[in-house]
Amino acid sequence: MTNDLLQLLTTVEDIVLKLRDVDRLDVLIKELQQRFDQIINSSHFGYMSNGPTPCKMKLYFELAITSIDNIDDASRSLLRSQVFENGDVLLVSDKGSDLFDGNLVPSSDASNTAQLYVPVHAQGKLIGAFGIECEEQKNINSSHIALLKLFSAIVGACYLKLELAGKIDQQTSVTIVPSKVEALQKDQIIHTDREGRITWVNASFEAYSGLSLRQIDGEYVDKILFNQTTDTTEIQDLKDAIKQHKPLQGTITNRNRVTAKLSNLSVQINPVYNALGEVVSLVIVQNETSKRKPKAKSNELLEESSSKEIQYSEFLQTTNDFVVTYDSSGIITCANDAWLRKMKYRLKDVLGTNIFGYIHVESQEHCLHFFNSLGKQESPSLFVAYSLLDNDGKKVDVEGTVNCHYVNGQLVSINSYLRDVTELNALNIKNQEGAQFIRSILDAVVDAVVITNTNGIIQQFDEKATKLFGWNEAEAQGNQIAGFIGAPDLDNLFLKAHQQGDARKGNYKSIDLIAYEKNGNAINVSVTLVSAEIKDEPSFICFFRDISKRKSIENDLINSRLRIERIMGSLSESVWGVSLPGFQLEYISESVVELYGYPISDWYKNSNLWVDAIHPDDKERVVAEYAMLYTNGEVYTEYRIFTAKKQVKWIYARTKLVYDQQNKPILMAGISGDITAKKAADKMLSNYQKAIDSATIFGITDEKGNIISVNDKYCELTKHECHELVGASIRTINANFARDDDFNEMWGLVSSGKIWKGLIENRAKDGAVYYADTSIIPFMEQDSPAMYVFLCTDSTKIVAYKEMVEQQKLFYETILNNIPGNVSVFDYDGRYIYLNPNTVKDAALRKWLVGKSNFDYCNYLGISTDFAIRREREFNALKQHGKYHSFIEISKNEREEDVYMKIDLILYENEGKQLIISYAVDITNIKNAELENVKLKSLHENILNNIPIDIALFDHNHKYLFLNQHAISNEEIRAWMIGKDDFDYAKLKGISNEFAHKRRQEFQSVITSDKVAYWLDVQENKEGKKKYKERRFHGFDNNKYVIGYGVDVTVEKEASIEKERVIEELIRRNNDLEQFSYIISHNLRLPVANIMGITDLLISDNTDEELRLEFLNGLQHSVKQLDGVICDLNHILGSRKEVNDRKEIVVFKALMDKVIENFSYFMEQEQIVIHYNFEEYKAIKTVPAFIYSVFINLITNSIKYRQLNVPLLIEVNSYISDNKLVLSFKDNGMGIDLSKHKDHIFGLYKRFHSKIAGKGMGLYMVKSQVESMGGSISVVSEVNVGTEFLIEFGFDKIGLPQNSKL
Amino acid sequence: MNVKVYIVDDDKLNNLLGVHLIRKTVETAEVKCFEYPAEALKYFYQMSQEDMTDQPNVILLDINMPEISGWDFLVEFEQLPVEFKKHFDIYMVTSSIDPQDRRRADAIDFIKGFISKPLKADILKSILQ
Repeated sequence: MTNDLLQLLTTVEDIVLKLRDVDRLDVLIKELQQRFDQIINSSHFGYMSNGPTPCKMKLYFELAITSIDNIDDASRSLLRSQVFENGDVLLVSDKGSDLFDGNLVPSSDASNTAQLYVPVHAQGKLIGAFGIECEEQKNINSSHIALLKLFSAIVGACYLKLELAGKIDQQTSVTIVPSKVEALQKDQIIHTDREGRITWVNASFEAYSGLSLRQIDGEYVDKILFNQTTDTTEIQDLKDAIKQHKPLQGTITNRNRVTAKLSNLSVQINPVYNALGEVVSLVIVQNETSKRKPKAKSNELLEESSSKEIQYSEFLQTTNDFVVTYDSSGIITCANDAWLRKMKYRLKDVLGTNIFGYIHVESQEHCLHFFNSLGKQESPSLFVAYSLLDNDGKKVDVEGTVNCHYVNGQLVSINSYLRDVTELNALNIKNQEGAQFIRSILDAVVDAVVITNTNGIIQQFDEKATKLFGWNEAEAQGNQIAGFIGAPDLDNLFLKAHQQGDARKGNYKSIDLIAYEKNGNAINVSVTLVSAEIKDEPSFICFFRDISKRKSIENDLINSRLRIERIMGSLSESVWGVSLPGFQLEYISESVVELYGYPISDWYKNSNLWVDAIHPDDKERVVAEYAMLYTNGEVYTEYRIFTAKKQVKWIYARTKLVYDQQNKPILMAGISGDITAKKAADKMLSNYQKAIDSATIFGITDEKGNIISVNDKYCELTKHECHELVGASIRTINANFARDDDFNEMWGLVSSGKIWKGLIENRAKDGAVYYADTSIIPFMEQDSPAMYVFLCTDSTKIVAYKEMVEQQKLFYETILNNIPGNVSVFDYDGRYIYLNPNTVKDAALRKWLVGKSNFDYCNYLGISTDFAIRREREFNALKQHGKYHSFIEISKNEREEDVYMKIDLILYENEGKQLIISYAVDITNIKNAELENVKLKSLHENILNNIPIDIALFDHNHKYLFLNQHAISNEEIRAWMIGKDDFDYAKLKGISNEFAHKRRQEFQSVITSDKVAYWLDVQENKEGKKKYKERRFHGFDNNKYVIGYGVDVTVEKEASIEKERVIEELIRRNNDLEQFSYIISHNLRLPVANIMGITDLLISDNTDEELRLEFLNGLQHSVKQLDGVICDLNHILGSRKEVNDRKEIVVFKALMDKVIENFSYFMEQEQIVIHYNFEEYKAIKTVPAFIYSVFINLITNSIKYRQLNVPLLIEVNSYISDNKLVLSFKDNGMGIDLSKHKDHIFGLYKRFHSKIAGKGMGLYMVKSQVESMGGSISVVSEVNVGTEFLIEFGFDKIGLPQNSKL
Repeated sequence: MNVKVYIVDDDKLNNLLGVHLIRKTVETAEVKCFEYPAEALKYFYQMSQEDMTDQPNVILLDINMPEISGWDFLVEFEQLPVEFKKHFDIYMVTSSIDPQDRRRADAIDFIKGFISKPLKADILKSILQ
């Protein structure tokens, strides 16, 4: 580890130590940031720039996401899920945030700053994240990320160290976000010096590689990283990049030495520059990329594998061969029963485990080597042989093929088809053991054994050889065998063996030849040459046998045969003999004339005639074939000739050499015959064969069933080589015939001469199941079959399809049978075709019903045909509607409850037939629920609509969702209001939207404050009557909805207003009374005070008589005054009494006349005119005395305070205003200055005109009496213009209806 | 120096009694009665214009009078020059027992006192000396 890094580690360790102090987190982060700044400014790390554009960075260290406040919510959530849970790197810029995949291509228009967040892991836990803020985003490169990763890895490592040392415990440590899946930090970080020597690795790398830092510290990184992989160009590039300090990213395939998994690794080389742009170190980030395969790829993979699975699954589980598949990492994905049985494992035990765990230690190296070779090139199929280790520790030898499955050039799956060869191998070993035995057998039949090397140099020369040839071993060794025994033909044999390149064991060639003994005697021997490996050397074993005796017999035979052949002249074939070596025609039989058309003499004259006659197309071949005569001793050939008449004939020629005693050829004997007819037949046959070959799959067997021939297509079908099949028993080939009984039955049939036709299910050589539609035709000879021809068609696909259809049918039937409803299918005329068990449980009945109609069904059940009639009607409706018709049928069940069936009828055309499918579902529960719901809903609505309260439901935007009847009685408007608001309502009604504003305001307050809003709503109806509503808004469901209530409180409000009015009145009255009592007391006290004063003076003083008299007059005045006050008091109290007097109807006109009568004298004198008009309202019902008093007082006042120089005019009118009766008394008198006296005008003893006599009682009395009658009085007056008194009565107070026209 | 007493009251009998009682109690006092407050105001206005007396003056003012009440009178009197006003002590004299009248009088600074009718010799003595 370099000093710099150690220093950094210590620095960070120091900081991490402080992580325990959670309270000082802010300080800590600052400190960390400082340190980081120092580090990136130090010569060692420099600017993490990749050239001349440095990027300034600012560091954050965040321990909890909540404290990151400079990013938006979306980024925060990404940060939470990706960085803190998945451990990815997040890039946040003003363009949004995205996962940083290491391939940032910054756009030039990207804004300047961006943040990168890298998680910090410790022991698989996330302890926080590093973030850097980069001032110039476009300059961010992978080196920055690498540095950050390095840094976070170091922090993680320190943290881990501390945690292990017990310095950090869970309670005091920072908030730990549990990592989700990966227990380790994803990135493996390796730091090296500039030479590529490892200085530091993180825990993730240690875990992955199984190598600790201690082990590899100082090692060259390329040796460590790429040791498991063989060189590819990519690896070479990476190695070069390390050497040349170039930044590079590449992907390699590596076998993990811990898990033996094959995995793809992304390797990223990042050089670290100092401020001078010199490379100081390298940071290498490595991670497994297999998990990040694009989705599309994995889908494809899935599809691929699933289709494969379907195709093979059956085979996999039934074959006796072993099938095991595993992925590119060696993880077992499938193993068939045979494999599992043999290995004594259960499937669940092996799935997901590595195949290498099951390989016998002897084979592991071999298999690993083989395995490594798999990923490199696309090799579809390979032959393998290795040993497995079963659960009991027993060795299982297997051999077979391995098929690799590639997707997009990438190895994804390996399928092994293996065969158990344990026993076979054991047999081989036995064979070896039995070699000695075989040898002894050999000894019995073989005279001598000589072993040579491949060049024929004698290595061993056994005793028997010595006996045969006379040479001992020592003499023989080192000699070339052919020369040594004087048999040059043996060389030819060696040559031939060499030429054929045949080094396979067990093959042999045999020849008879003449050899010479040591003493020069020629002996006839047969030689068998066997190639073999002796002491690891390829060698030949030559077995010699003395055949001298046999040879002499043979020679006798040849001579006698020659004699016989001479008799052959009478045969149709031409027989001839040519002496050798002079090629002199010795004999030719007469038949040749017939064959060639040339006379015998021509043959003797022209020795080349037979060659000339050969068809030019065949000549070359025939000559070549004859060249073999010397080596083979015999030639058989067929060729065309031209006869003398230039006719083409096919002939055959069999030519043999005849040897003399010395085995020298002395005669060439031959026989030729016309085979033109046969050839023509052959040709036709071959044409037939070609035709059949290309069209069908066929073969011929002999009577025992051994295959004589098969065509290519049969080989294709069975996946056997043709040569493997010829000679083999058809029984063997059909060994996998699924049903032995069928096979026997078939043979039984065909052996009796009958043609068998049927489907053969068999397995091809590779184990694939095939189906062959086969006809076996026996060819009879004398009542027993001489051979069989079998013709097949490959119906594998058809069978598969049929099976699929069958399965589908089964599948659909299963569905139909289990469907939760009644399914029945009818023909167009309404006869049952199918019923599912739900419709009719009894299977027998179901069967019976097919072909029957509903009428039949009703009859069967013994019920009325109503049901059938109804159905027929619905069927007709369906036919009218066309494709689909649905109805609901209500019937009663046993408990007399309503049962609702929803029945869908579908008109369906199948193979030109119109079918009716009926699907009935019991919807009673739904229906009941629906009814219940409707009931409930109507109940709720009833309740809501009948509550004497306005109820409205608003959505979040204050739009109506519901209003009850009370809120808006007009149903149309109520419906219209849904989705509208109060503003719409105001517009609709053409009224002021002030109320809508108010409600909106309250609504907003409810939504924003979460409080319930109350307010009093005042509305005025057309008549001007006020309506008071207490309104309430409250939100629910998080204020998603708001309910509004309006309770009519008009009555209460009116009552309270009335109450207030009464109280006000009472207070006023009380004040009046108080005032009254003061005034009374004042007015009583005034004369009393005077009386007191006068009496005091009269008593104490000796006043003169004149003064005394004056006092006595004063006394009298005061006493009168006192009496007047007391009278007034009585009068007033009288008017204040509750109006118990009988009310009578008083007609204003009559009243007025009575009043005027009092003033008649005065009126004449003083030019007073009184006008009155009571036409509009003529009478009231009240206390007559009061209304009389009011009239007389007001008229009196007008007269009393008239303007002296203006003739008085008094106008009295009755009229209705503002729903009240108004009596107006208007004059043109002196008037009262209301600005001064307004408060007192109706006051007791209030006088406004000091020069005119008055007590200040009149108006007080008027007011009291008006109020006693239930009315009110007001005054309008202007000085020197006139006064108008207005008396108002509510109609309820005067006991007469408004329209009373008395 | 002789005190001058002005009685402003619409009740003639009260004024007659007042004059006699004042003359009897403080012989040196001059007494003048006004039956109409308007006349009294007119008198005081002229007096303030012409004769700036340094004679002490007492006004006995009734409250309940038609047209111009005692309170109205005070509002008008307030308009007179301070130099003139300062020679006047004003007493409210009334037969009212309305506590509001009493409270109102107390609230006005230059009202020296509130006297309930009838006038008594001892009260007159104490205010006129």
